[in-house]
Amino acid sequence: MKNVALFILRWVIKPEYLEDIEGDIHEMHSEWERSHGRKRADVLVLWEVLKLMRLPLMGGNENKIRTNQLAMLINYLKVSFRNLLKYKQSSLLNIFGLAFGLACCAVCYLHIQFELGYDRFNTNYKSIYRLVAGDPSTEQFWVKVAAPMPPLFKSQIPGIDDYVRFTNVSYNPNVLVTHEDDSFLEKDFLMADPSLFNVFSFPVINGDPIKTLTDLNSVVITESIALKIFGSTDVLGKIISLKDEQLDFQVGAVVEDVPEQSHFTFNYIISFENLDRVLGEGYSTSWGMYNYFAYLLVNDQTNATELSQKIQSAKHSLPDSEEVTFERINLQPLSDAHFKYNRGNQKPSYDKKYIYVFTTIALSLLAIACINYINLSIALSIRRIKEIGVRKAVGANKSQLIFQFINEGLLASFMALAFGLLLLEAFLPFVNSLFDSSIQTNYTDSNFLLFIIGSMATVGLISGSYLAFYVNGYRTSSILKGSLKSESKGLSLQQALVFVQFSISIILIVCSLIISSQMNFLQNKNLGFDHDQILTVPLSSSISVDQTKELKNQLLQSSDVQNVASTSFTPGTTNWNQTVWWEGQTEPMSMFIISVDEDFLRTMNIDLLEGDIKQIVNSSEDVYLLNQAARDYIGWDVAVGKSFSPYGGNRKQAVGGVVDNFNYMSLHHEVSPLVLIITDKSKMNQLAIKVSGTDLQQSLASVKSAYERVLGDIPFEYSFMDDNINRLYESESRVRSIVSTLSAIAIFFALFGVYGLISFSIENKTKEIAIRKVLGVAAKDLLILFSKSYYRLIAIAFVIAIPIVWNVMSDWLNNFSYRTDINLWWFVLAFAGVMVAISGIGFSKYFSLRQINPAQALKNE
Amino acid sequence: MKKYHLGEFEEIVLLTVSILENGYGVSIKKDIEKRLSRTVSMGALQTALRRMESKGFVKSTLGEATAERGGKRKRFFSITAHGKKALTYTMNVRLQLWNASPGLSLEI
Repeated sequence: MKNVALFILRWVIKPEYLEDIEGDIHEMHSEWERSHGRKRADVLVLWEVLKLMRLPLMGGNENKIRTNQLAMLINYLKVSFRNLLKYKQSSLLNIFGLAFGLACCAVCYLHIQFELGYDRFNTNYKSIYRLVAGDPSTEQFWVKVAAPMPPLFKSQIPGIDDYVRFTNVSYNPNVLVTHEDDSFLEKDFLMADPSLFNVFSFPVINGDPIKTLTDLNSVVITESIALKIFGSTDVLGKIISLKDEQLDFQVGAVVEDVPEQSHFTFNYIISFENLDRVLGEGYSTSWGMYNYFAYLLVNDQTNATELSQKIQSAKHSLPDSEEVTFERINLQPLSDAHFKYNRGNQKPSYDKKYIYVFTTIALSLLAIACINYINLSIALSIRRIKEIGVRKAVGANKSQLIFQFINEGLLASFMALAFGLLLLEAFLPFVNSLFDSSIQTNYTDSNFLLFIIGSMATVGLISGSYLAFYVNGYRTSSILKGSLKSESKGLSLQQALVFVQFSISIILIVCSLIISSQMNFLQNKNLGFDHDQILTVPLSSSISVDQTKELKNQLLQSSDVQNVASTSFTPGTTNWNQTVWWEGQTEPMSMFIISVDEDFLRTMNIDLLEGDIKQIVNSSEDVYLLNQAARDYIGWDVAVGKSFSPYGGNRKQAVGGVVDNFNYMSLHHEVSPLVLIITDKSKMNQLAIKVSGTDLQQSLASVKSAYERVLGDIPFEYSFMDDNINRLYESESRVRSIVSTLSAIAIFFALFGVYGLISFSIENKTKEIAIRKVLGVAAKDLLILFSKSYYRLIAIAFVIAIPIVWNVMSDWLNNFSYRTDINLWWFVLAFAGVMVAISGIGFSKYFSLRQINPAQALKNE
Repeated sequence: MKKYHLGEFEEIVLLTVSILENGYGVSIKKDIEKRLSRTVSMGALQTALRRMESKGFVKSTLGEATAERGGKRKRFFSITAHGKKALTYTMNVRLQLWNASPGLSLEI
């Protein structure tokens, strides 16, 4: 305390007054120490010193702060600013380049932070596990289990605190909700156990959601739904109806909207007890229907591996004939729910690999910007050589020069930081639309601040210190004699950096070409069914089978409609997976199931390998068709006539035919075994309408009018099957647009850097050029002289890039079961493109070379 | 007239300096505190002393260092002739005013 007081004293008091006042303070302190004790004396002295801070006594630091270091620092800043202003073009290029690199890195950081933040709003984040069927470490698993499993596990296995199950109220993604006279086509209408609100953390606005979900006829809604339907959140007790099921529900609670960073979402929730009356009798007790999301909340002490072993060996009291086993049931931590390849997830999952991809690209861009900065500054340092020489001559030592250049680097990088943040704000809307996310910059987030400031400081330090060591290599005497030429040593380093730049750019360019070609391949791949000009119209489940038939008839009368089928088939989203049985079966097996009507094969133009189309179409009973993959899996040569059941042993029947494989899942996957149930008795969730003619608008209008004639006020919606299929490759399209944008930027910066370097070398070698000209060398030959080293560099960069691209892209392409091969032509194309660009740069310098007048350049010699 | 101007606190400090033979910061402070039973902050005292020194009312010399003072020397202040004139002048001005004020001078 006394030392603090003395420190302040020495800092503020004028040095000529300091000695005796300090002595007085010491004396007072020792006196007070005797009378009041040490602590009190400390406080009193500190107080006395604070009262000594009066203007006439102060000003001690006036002399102290004017040290040489500070003066030099001010001088460095001044000189840096002058240089920035003197060479505006290259400064702008430098700073803008760095700013861009930083903005890319910041976007990448925010993006990764957003994705890794998924589900972390849950206070039980670490102790929630999802029950899945299959091994979650492979890609062959399913994220839903049967309804009776979680309660059984909880009752038998200690360590499970709670469980929650939920599912959609309908297989149809859209349900019709009405309130008085208003009707809304709604998504994400769930049935869930009340424990949903114990296990997950969703803030409540009004009412008690847990109590609400124990009541059959109550519903929990989210804030935005409450505002949409009622215009207020104070709506407890109001009634909404689920039109499809003719059921009324009373609003029992309003909760906040589900955060975007949740891997599942809901708008409405009713009690899970409604399962049987909404979906069908016996659903809640069926052990074969793996249709329910189920999560366990476990004790802190519980070990997940042990728990899943206990689950797999859990006992049930069912007869053996039911063939219920838990062997395939596993636990998946909540932290994996958004990331793994989660077939059946409500939202598309995010592949963690892309985190590495984006990080690499962002860092590469930053590296390119850094290299540009270093290269251009080295080139500039030749102009500043006299300054450095004078500094050295008047006594600047190595460390001072290092300090100066680091200082300069930091100044540039922090100016870049300011620009970069502006750029970041400009990019974000674009990035958000690309990723369908809602990333925001939060400048109060210390991690983010640390990241951007830290990365800029690193960039400034690295580029500044590199430059400093480089400049230190100049010899003072030769600088001042003016005999220093741009040495070959410097150029080779610059060339090495240019080489790195071009390698990165070329890798990015070839990757984006390959990604594009794979995307084209996917779009043009024959999927085994006809998806051109097919209109998909969702059918609300309130529409009866007869109404559907009527609608089909009406549609067929229109000349614009070629074929209509009612189906439950949406490409890529097939998720009805059920245990199947066949004669001679040796091990349990589940297959995907799609139910369609008899017109499906004709409308989608799917080939029939076995069976008679007429028999299938005219059968009054349901017909089971297998796809070729299913027949191969079972091992039958001929499937027709063999006994089969898609309902785990119930309703066995002879197989009616075999269809050719078609890609009902995305092209990431091989075609796996599938059962088509041809039926005209059950409700389907959509119509697939093959429209003819060239005028889509007119076809659409006639479909709509037919729909409205039959179904009246039920809202009409449609989509094109082509669009639905393209949506399956959304994440790849994103990667394509990101990689191609970034590679364009990278090559732009690299070329700009080269432009700068060629300009500088021409400028610095004016005399050499003039002499060459006098001796009769043509301008175009001079140009070749100056740019040939870059052609060589690029050629070497290509040789390096080929194996890297080959490795990375083969790996990426292996994500797809159906893929193109890496074509050497892509490299040739990219190579030619870069060469042309370099030649373009050279050409732009052609004129400045021509303009050099030997008489002017040499007259001072 | 302006050159003799003394503030109230300055007058007290200057008088105390003239009383004490070898007055320095702490001893002047203690003396004022004892005689006038008021607390004096080092800041106020030093400001007054330095200001009067620059006006030429006091002069100072550096004395000996003691262990108690952390090895720092004392600065002894003494009054100058100019300072004495300023004190006399201030006193005379006060006296004139006293004499001119009939009620007060009689009752005391």
